[in-house]
Formats: sequence, structure tokens, C-alpha cells
Amino acid sequence: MTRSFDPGRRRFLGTGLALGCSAAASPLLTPVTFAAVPGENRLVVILLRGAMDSLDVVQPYGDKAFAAMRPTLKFGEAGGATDLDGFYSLHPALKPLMPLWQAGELGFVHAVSTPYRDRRSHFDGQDLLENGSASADGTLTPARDGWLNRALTMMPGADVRTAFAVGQEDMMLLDGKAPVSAWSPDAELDMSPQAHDLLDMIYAKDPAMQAASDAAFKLANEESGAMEGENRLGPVPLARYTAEQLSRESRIAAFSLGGWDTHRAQHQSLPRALSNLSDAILALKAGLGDTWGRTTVVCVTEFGRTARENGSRGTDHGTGGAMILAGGAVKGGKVYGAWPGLGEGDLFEDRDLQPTDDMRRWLGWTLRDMFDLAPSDIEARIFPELQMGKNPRFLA
Amino acid sequence: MSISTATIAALRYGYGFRPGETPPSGAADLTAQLEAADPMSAGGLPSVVHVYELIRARRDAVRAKVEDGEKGMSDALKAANQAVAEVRLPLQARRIVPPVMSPQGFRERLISFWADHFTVISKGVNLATLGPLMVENSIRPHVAGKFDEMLIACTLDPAMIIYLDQNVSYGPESVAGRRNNRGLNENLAREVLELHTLGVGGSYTQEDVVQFAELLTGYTVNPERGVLFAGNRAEPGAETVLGASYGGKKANPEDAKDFLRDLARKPETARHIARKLVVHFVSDTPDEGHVAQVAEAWGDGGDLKAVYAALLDHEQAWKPEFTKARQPLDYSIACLRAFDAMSFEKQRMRLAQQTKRHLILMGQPLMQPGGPNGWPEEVDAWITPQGLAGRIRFAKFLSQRFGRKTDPREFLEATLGDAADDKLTFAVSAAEQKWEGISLTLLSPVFNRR
Repeated sequence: MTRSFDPGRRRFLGTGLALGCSAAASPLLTPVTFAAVPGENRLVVILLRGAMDSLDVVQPYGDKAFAAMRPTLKFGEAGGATDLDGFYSLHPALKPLMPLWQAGELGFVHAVSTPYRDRRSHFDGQDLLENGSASADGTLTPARDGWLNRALTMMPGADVRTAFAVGQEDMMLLDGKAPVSAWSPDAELDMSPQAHDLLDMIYAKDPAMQAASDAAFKLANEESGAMEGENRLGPVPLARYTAEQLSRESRIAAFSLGGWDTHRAQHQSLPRALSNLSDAILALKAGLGDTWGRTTVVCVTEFGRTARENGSRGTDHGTGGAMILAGGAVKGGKVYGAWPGLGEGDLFEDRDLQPTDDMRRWLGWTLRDMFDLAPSDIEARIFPELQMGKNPRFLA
Repeated sequence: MSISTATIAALRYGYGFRPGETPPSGAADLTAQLEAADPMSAGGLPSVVHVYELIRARRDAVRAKVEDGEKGMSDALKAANQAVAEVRLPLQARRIVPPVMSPQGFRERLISFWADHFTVISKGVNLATLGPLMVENSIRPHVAGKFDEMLIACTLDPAMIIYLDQNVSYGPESVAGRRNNRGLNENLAREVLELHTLGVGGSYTQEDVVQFAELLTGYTVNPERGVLFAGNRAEPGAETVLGASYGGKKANPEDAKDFLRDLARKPETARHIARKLVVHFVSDTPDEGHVAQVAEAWGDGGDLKAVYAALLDHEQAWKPEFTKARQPLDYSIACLRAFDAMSFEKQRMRLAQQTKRHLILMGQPLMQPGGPNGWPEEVDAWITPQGLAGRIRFAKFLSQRFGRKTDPREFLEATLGDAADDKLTFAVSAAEQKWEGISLTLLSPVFNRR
């Protein structure tokens, strides 16, 4: 079940967007952050944690150097992929999204990255992706907060909250026995009112525990959550729940999908992650109905993977990657971005796709076009040292 | 109110008090634990080959069932599952039972620290068993020894080799690599440098990662023999890593070990681990002088007893404020100790199983963090509404089961000693029912911090 609660705006803005590092600490808690802001446009940011192999998703089959780099990872026609524009083909696991591509509601930006270089650490890369800093070595901005969070502070009347999808299936997998019934905070927090009062008393001097306790009891007293009775883990219920929230007062949502760290047998692991993503996007579209027309879904990942496949039919940590754009507000049917080539001397450090653009520029223009933030503010306060340049005009 | 050194020793550096056990009185008693023999040292552990036999028998039963078109569980599969569980469950329980029962709480806390430092996400048929086995084989014996030996043991442990893909890494120019058209996998090499030794800020390059990965080629796991060095997978020739050359013409399993030993000697490794220790035991925002003092005690390759002594020999190590959060595994062990809940041997396995399920609700499924970087340390990651709801539930479960006849005031005194303040003492005595008063002790800020 998902329960929503309000941990308090102050704390939230203080510790970074729930796109925050520690929010994803537990693999069984899937946090979704929501923000209500003025206007009708909807933005969904999906973090693809683990580094998506952009070259296997939006495959540059028209680049003559590509085949030699991917001897076993099939692509293009041989890999069952769908041609997009005569140069790129789309991984077959994303085929369910082709109607969106044809309707101009799906697009990609290739050869982009954050400013992070060289070290190729997931954890630094993800922190940087969430924080939006300009640092190549992974140093975060002094406040260590999230870029989306900083953007919200610039939108008058923004109100943030987080919901958690609490997974239960994994619990049962653990030892084959059903756990002590489903997590049901209302039943489990049925302390006597007096004991609750005493608890409040002993938490008075510990603000962190008091805040956690207040939220837990509030959560327990709320009516049953939106996802009650459904399969609670997995991208589809997550996306359905997100769509429902966005159909009410929320306008911005952010969550993560994992499974992208494909070091081995990528032909097996990547399709799983892509199917999850595809299912999530289709569930968002279905759930949003007419509102889909005002929605932009932006999928970002910490970095790309090696241009050459590795020795175990997978790929290792790289640099340049891709963004996936979906939604009725997107001018899709197009792969954006300048292609750097894969030939001799084209690769970053002779190994990774060379980034030709700062991913933050595309995020910046998304904020500009959807929420009317001033480019000068975006450059100064949201993405340090960014030069927004010319609007790539990828939103309708 | 001031908290005594003895109480700090028990709560910050151990798993709290257990009735009938003599608690440490200070730093000297903590370090003495590491000089004494480990009473929880495990005998009769299953061999890796035996684990594989059981796993393969299970796989065969699955195949036979599919071929026969049987629905549900076949009897053979049930038996095979049972055989795997009989090995897996006691190993998983060893992450809970020894810390509850051992009088050497500091040693057990250190084992837990290193198990997280060398994280293997222990789920799935192989790793759910091999992960906790690694803690017993490659961490426990070295916890009061040398870091370089622990590093070698963990890097070349079957669980780590499988978890970080070393078993599919081949020297691109090796005999087996060329024959099977296979090559390098960088995963283990990168994480050893980034997470286990130098730290992500360390002075290594992408080329060092590749060279180290080549140096590791040859090491793999095989169901018949366990971990082995397959010369035909090893990249021929010498490798230059961090400016030094290793190996020569003929592939030699010692080459990678030589590099790991050198890695353990690096001042950056010492600093990285010193910081992690201070962060884990003392503060999320550690005192730089404290970190430096621990790093200086490192010696040649990591003399761990000297390192721990330096950790304890600092004013900050004994500050009276409890600013760290007890993580759910620490928390549940401390709760079980407070009730002396595992003194009846017959109950241990079942209670460990129940604790394992509660750990999920508290947000820390046993040995299953989100990535190879292990669990987060920050208070914010642990004092959460969901996590607290899980703790409330676990406290209630234990209090109702073990605390119905206990006087909450005596329980508070035995569990927290002089760390209990007046407000808590009042609240505990004011509860309507005994078990509620006991729950309040387990839910108090001071019991959830250290």
C-alpha cells in the first residue's frame, strides 16, 4: 500500500529532493516525490539508476563503426530493432512505445551527459545527476540539495510531499512464508492513546524522531492509500499511482527505476529494464487521459556505458548517454542531439560515447518551457555554471 | 545528567547490555575482546562445493519438474529446497545470533562493519547462501588481524567473485578468452578500488581499473572446485597498475594478491577506511583530527587492532551525545539482548527468522542493501516514518512476548543504565501496562541512537 504523508516542507527542502541520496536507501521502499505548483503542465522525472546503455537503446546502426564494437550484442534489423529515422533503431523491448513515436509523443536526446567525467562511479554519478552540479569530479553543490528541489523554491506556492510504495512481494520471497500479514500501520500503531502521549513526551527533545513519529501516526490514521489491494511493487502500479496524483493537485513527480547496470548478458538484462520503463510510460499515459497532452516525461541516467561490449556480453561504465522524452507535450518522432561518431578518435578516452551536450541544458529548457522559469535564474541557481544557449525547442 | 564511560562502551561500541553478561567498562575492555579467542568462531561450516551440489540438485529438480509438465511443487523439488534452506537459514541466522549471544560486542560490531564494507547483496539462489558464508570465512577470522589479508580473502571469496562478475571476466588475449571470444569485465576491479580501498576520490585512473581487471583474470569459481585460478583465462604479460608492474610472462595467481597487498599499504586506503570507521562508530560529520589519528595507526597493510585502538583513543569517541542512529539490524540485536531472548537454544532459529522479517519492515532487509556501496550511515536514512513504524511493531512483538511479567522500571535500568533521563524514567513508569512501558524503553531516542 502506498501511504502519503507530509514530512514537512522545511525538512524536505533542507535535505534535498526525495530524489535524495538516502531516500533510495532501501531497495524495498520506492519513494515518489510529488509537488503541487501553479499551472496545468505536468512533469515526470524518471531516474534510470545503474547507467542505461544508450547505444543499445537508441542504436546508431547507421554508424559504420558500430558493428565492430558490438560483436554479440545484436542491433538494428539483426537484433529485431525498429528503424527510427534511417540512422537510429530502437531496441525491440521498447516496441510497445512505437505508437507514441509515430504520434510524435516519444523522442530521444543522444550523446548527452552530466558534467561528471572519468571516475565512472554509480554513486557519485547518481548524486551528481540529482544535485545538478557542474563538477567533473563528483563534488556536489554546498547545500547538497536536488536541482528539482531548487527549482521548486523558485515556483511560488510549491508544496512538496513524498509517498512511499512499500514493497511486500520480496518479503514473501525471502523465505517462502507470508510475513506477519500485510503492512498495516493502522493496526500496528494501535498504541493506547496514553502510550502515544508518553511517546510524544520522550520524543520532545529529539526533533528527528518526533518528525518520524508524527508522520508515521498521521500516515496510520489516513484513509487507505491509492494503491491498496494492488500489486504494490513494480513500475505499473507506481506509474498508475503517479498518474492519479498528477490528475489531482500534483504537477511534478519524480521516481527511480533500477536494473540498468548491465555488466553481463545484456541481451537478457536490458530488455527487462526496458520493459519496465515502457510499461511505466504506457501506464502514465493511460492514467493521465487528456492530461497526457500537457505532460512531459524525462528519463535520465547517471552516465552511458562503454561503446564496445565487454568480455561478458555486457558493457561497463561509460560517459555519454541518452535521455528519453515522452508525453503529449513533447515534440517527438525525433532523435535530438549532435552525433559524435564512433570512429577512430571520436570516442571519449577511446572508450565511451563522446558527450556533445550537457544534459542539464535539456533539463533547464524543460523547466523554462513548462514552468516559465527565467533562463538567467536557471543558470544561476538551479544548474551552476550552465550555459543554456539556444532553446532546442523539443517541447510543443 | 552525564552518561558513564561504561554505558557509552556498551551502547556505542557494542550491542547494548544483556542480563547476566559483564559489560565492558571502557576502551581497555573493548580492545581486550580482540585479544581473547572469539567464542562465536564457527565450526562445521559448509564448503562452497557442497553449497553448489545442493543448488545444482535443486536446479535439476526444477528442470525435471518442467519436463514432466508438473504443476506446483514436485516432491523432489520440495526436498531440494529443504536441503538448500537447511544450509542457508543457519548461515543467515549467524548475522543475528552470535551478536546477540557474544560477550564480545565490539568484535561483533566490527564484523558487521566489515560485512557492509565488503557488501555482497545476498539474495538469489547462490548469494543468499554464499554471502553470509563469506562473512564467516573471509571476515570473521581477520577482524582483529591484518586488513590486507581480509582484503585478499574478500576479493577472492566465491560470493564476491560471483557478485561482481569476476567469474565471467577473461583476459582478452588469454587462451580461453580467444577461444570463446570472451574478454574483460571491470566490475570487481572498479569496486575494489572505489569502495574497498582507495575510495572514489583516490588517485587511480580508468586505465588502472582496466589493468587491475586484467591482473584479476584467471580467478573464477567452479562448482566442482570452488575458487580457483584458471591460467587459461589469465591475460598474458605484465600489468602496470598505479605505477607498478605486476606479473610477467607466465600467469601467476600470486600477482593479483601482490597488488592487493600493495593497495592495502596505500595511505589513501588508510584514510578512506579510517573515515568510514569514525563515521560508522562516532559521527556522520567526523572530526578530522580523529580520522587522521586512526589513519596514522594503519601501519603496514592495516594493523587492525592498532587502528581500532586509535579509534577509541580520542575525546570524540567518548562524547556523551548520541548522534548516530542505530541501524535496524543493530537495533533488533540490541532489543533481543535486552530481553536475553535467545538464551533458550531451541528458540533461536525461529526468533532469527522472525527478526529477519521485521528487518524488512524496519527498512534493512538482511544483507540486501541497494548496491555494492552498502547501507547509508546518515541518521536521515534510518529515522524515517516507515522505519519507526517497523520499530514500533518489533518493540511490541518482543514486549508482548517476553515482557509481560517484567517490571518496566527494572527493564529500563538494566537496558539503558545511566543513559535514561528523568523524562524517560517517568514515561516508562507511567505506562498502563507492563509491556507498553517496556516498549517505550525500546522506542526511546537514546535506545535508537548511540
